[in-house]
Amino acid sequence: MAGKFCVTLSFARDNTDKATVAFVVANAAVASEKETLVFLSIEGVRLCQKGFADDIREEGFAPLKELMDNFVKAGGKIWVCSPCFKKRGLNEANLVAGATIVGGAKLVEFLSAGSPSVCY
Amino acid sequence: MVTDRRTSKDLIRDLTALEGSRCTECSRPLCGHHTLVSLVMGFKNAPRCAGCLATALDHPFERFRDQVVELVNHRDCYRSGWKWADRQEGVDPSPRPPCLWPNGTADAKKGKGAVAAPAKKHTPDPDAHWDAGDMGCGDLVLELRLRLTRMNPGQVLKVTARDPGAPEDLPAWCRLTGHALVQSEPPVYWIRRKES
Repeated sequence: MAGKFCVTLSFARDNTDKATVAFVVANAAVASEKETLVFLSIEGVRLCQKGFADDIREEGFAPLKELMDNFVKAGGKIWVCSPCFKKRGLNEANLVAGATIVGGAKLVEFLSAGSPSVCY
Repeated sequence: MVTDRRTSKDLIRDLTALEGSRCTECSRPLCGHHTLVSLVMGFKNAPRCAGCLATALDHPFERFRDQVVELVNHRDCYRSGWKWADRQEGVDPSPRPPCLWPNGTADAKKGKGAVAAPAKKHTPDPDAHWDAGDMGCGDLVLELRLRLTRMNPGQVLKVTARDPGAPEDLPAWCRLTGHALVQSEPPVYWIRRKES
């Protein structure tokens, strides 16, 4: 893959529009053969739990779960902010496919390699 | 692919920097040989094990492995990297290390199964131990930086970090800062302070 691309997402059910568009853009990046990362933080970390996104569907877009599944199947990575995850008492055993819990240094390393980033 | 201009020194520097890394796809620890395979295939910043690379290319593991080994055998720098990996894993110089030939001379049945854990290394004697408990993310690496700063270059800090992000974060932080992650057995990590 040529180059990296990062999408940061800090919303989940509190702004399903942003959550959906973030994964639409991430899918565009991964389809463009970028090494693509979605970094989930703040409320966005809830999307890392199996079942959470299942009933989220924005008008005019594919269901969020489908967008997330397609992203991971295409090789996209989902990184989950560790302190945000812990604060919400989420379950490590219930992560969606492709999700990894990381701390800030991991994100810093990815972005420092020259990745552009778009924030939702 | 890595170009012919790469020297043995460059390659070993990259291999050293990636010590303690895990496969970006399946998160299994990468030994020296698997890291070398990843570098040969051009995955320097997001290393992957040979099994995941074979799967991504939709090649049978054995075929993929044999093709990469063929490449290794034709370049001096790769051969140096292979010897380096032999030494790091404490195995005798071998064209067929167990991490890539888990069944000895017989080929592995499945590529994914071929990812052996790194051979047991000698655990370094730490100069200090810090139990970071559940500390994570920025708090963890900031305190870690402070503690390493107080130590002498070359000394080893044994860190126990139970944050779920630490297995990804501490190797990344070491690659960023230049401190050496000598050994990683989550939740315990041995980090050698850099020279300056």
